[in-house]
Amino acid sequence: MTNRLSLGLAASTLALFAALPALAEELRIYGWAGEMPDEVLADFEAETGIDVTFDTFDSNESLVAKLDAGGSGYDLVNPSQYAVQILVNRGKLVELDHSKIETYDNIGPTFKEVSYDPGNKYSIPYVWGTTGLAYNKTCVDAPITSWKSLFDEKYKGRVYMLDNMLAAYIAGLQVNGFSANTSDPAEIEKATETLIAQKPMLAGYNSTNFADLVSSGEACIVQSWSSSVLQAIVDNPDVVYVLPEEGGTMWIDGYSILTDAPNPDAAYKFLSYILRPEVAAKTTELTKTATAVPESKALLPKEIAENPAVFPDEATIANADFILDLGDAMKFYQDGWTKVKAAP
Amino acid sequence: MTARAKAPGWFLRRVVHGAPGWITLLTYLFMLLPFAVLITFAFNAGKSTVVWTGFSFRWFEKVVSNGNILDAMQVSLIVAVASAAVSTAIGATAAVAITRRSFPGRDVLGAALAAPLVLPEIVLAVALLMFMSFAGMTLGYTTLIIGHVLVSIPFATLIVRAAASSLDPRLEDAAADLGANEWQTFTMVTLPQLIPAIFTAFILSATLSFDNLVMSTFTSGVGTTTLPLRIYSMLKLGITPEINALGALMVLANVTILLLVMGRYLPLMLKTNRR
Repeated sequence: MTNRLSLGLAASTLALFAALPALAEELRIYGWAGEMPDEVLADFEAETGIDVTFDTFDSNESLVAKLDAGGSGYDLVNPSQYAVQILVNRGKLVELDHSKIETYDNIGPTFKEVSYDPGNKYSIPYVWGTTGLAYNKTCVDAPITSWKSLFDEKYKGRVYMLDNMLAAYIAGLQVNGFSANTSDPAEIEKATETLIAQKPMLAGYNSTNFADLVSSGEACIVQSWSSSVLQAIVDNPDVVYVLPEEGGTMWIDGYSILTDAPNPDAAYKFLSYILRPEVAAKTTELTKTATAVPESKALLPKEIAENPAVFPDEATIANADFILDLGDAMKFYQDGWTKVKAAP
Repeated sequence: MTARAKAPGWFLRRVVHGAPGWITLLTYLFMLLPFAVLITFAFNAGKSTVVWTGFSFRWFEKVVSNGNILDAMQVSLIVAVASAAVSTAIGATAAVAITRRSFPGRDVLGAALAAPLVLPEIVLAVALLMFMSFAGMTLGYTTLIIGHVLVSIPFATLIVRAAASSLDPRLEDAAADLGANEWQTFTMVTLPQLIPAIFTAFILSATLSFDNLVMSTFTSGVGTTTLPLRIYSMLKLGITPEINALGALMVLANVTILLLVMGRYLPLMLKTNRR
């Protein structure tokens, strides 16, 4: 047995070495799953000969926790807007040298002046979408246009909210006429009460298969991320996605280079590559998510380019808030959310 | 009274007698129904995990051609085997030492090995991550395996300890009487009796590692996204039957392994029991 044990140990040690990547030039990316198609990574590898390792995380919070410890070994990370602010404050992100990104000018003007990172000093915006609501036409009498419908007794038991603190508070705050980015404890408290009052009429909190539920008609109205519900819209014309008149919010997942990146040059090459219009178009086509490269829109098939769930009109976008880093006010949200989750 | 009349309370008695059977049946249903639903929807033709639209193998094709999932599976398997080997080796050695030897600090060691069991895993994981970054370790296979060893070692130790403490000490005395030295006694008498427990400890450790999410979240590094981490990060885009297909394949693999193991060990176990 001792022999067999040591054999096993030796075998697993060997497996360890075999699993270590070869010595080619490498780029290590830590990003959201499903927002960067494997095809794009493969094309980039073929063109540049750089080996890409793409690991995925499940939330901005996981990303921040991992990077906080330091020595993560990644070159590029993929934070959403408020996570960019947190990481900048903690000195994790490099101030970008735009001259090293040949295609920097392809970024649309609205994306160059984003409030969380004006002038794209620390992050290159890439894919973006909105947080709004989706509904099934067959179970409502009139088009849904407001967050208020999520709180309407008429739809009791057929409404789902996103199981995500910041997302739930977007609806809770905006329906009361507050900004989705408030740091006023009284406003947050009011939103908490609204969410607690809403709870008995909810079918549940759900951030996984809500698109499925609204498509099957089991759910009438769901709070939704635009990208998650898109396939359901293509498959079922009864499913509609809207940004509510109160605004909804917009999210951007961009790419930033870490201060301790082992290979920043490869990271710059990757940024230059993904901002090419044809690469951005491929990303949109495969992930059904819009990119910050407006020129790519002309290269897309009509059903994607003209789909309001992918590309909402300018006026709607102008009305949407960004979720930003709320610093110390985050505590009020967390306390409130604990109460909401504990409420009957 | 006619012959057909039954003693009073026959109905109640029947229910009470039948209860264990019903409870067993309901427990099995409770445990197995989710698997049935999971496996059924793996064969769904549509994208939904709720609405049945027809029979198809497309999700199985998709999952076996999904490079990301296969890579993550490979990571998980390597980590499961390596961490189970390490924690079984440490756990078995420690268990034998604690039960068969007396040395200063024996009780402390025994308690320390069980400590990870009572600490919330997330506390352990965060502390380990902090320590690793303080020690300047790069996150990757090594850190992931260390983390998983920490999670599975209490189980490995407990299992082997239970087996070791029920061994008959007279067998070792007999071996010594017959001229075996300590090493021979250990390898030829003690160890063979512990092998089933060691094997169980290994399998359990590997399973715990394969399922682990919390520890992996913190200790995985570049290129070492484990399968549960990959699946968890896929949730944001919504679940498709691809996950069900993966689940069905994993159930199949587990049942196959279980049957193989039982096929090998069951006759042995039956034989020893009939002694």
